[in-house]
Amino acid sequence: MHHHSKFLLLFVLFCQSCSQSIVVNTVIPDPLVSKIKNYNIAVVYGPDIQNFQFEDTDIEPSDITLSIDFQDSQMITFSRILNGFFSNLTTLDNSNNEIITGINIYLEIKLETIEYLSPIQSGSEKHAIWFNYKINIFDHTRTPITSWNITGYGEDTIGSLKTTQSLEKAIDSGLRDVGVNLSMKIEDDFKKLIE
Amino acid sequence: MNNPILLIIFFFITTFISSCTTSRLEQQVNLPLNLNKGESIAVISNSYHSGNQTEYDFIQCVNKSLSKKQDYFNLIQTEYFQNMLYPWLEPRTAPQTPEDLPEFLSRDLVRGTLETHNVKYLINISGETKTNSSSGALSCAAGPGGGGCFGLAWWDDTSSYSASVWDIAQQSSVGSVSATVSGTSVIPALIIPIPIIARTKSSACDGLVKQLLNFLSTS
Repeated sequence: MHHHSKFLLLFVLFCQSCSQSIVVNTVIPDPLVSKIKNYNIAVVYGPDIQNFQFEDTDIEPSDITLSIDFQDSQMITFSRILNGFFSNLTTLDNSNNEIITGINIYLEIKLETIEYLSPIQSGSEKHAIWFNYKINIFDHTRTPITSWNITGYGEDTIGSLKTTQSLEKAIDSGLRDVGVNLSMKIEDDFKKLIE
Repeated sequence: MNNPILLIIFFFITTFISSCTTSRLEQQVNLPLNLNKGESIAVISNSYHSGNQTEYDFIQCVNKSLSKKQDYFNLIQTEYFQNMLYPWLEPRTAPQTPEDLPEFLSRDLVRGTLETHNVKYLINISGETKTNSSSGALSCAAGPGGGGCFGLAWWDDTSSYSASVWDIAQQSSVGSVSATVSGTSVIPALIIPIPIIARTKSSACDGLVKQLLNFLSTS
């Protein structure tokens, strides 16, 4: 067993009934993309995107609880990318079902799943996290057109005893990967929506 | 060996010798280098999507050393460079080989940003530090009268990294350097455990940076 795994196991054995809590503060840079002009977009974020607490009691050993407070980091990720592409982006409230004059496309973004794999579960020295989102797309009359699945994957290797640091890096990488996939999807498929 | 002091000295000499490192440095040149003063270079790394596991702290070490040990070219820090080109230099999108450079540079905005910052070369790092084997045993005990540890544990690490220098204008590799450092870390314990760690990763970083500076100074 690698010596980092031995330290991790020692930490875990001495920390029965411990919990690990992380608050996510991921910063997504402005994307280097070309603006899609003359389109007004409205976006509705599902409640799990605006403020989400992830809790996992299934990680080993089973006495440890992992809590991740995403705050609004997911919403920031999506709005940073969407603002990069569209000059006119309006965020609507969850309960808003009105047809707004001037809006060309409505986006409804929902969190489908978040999955986490701990180093002990995977038998490696990595934290790994997956995100899966669904974006329902509607035209100017709020009639459904299509939906996109946007995923993100992040991992990081444990480099020291600070296991939360590598988990934070894995989450950062995962959210940044969501931004990558969304950017590529908009570049490839947005024109098909408007044709 | 009945003298306990001699025994302790023998113990430490043995462990000191066994924690030394061995290094191997190599260099390969494909094309001539043409780097002018003030031009920029950025360090990138192959991603885990391609199976590469280069550690973040190793990349930071290379960045720090390259900045500190020369003032001929401008080194753009990896994190800043990645943010500047987001999302086109992420694990999913970054070029993994020189053959990926044409697609990477096909985006006007990417090319424009590199030109604005006068980026001439990219240094692509791959490799990792691995533990090859470990052995020995340490046991510790504590009681009302005191406590301590006894035993000996050791492990072999190999830090093997390579850096490939890519010419942006030529969209090809101009050469590569590599550093492989092996060492044995030991924890002897005679009441108090004393870790003697072979710093293979930092030695590999120093070796690789030294090779890179030699390589880049041949322009």
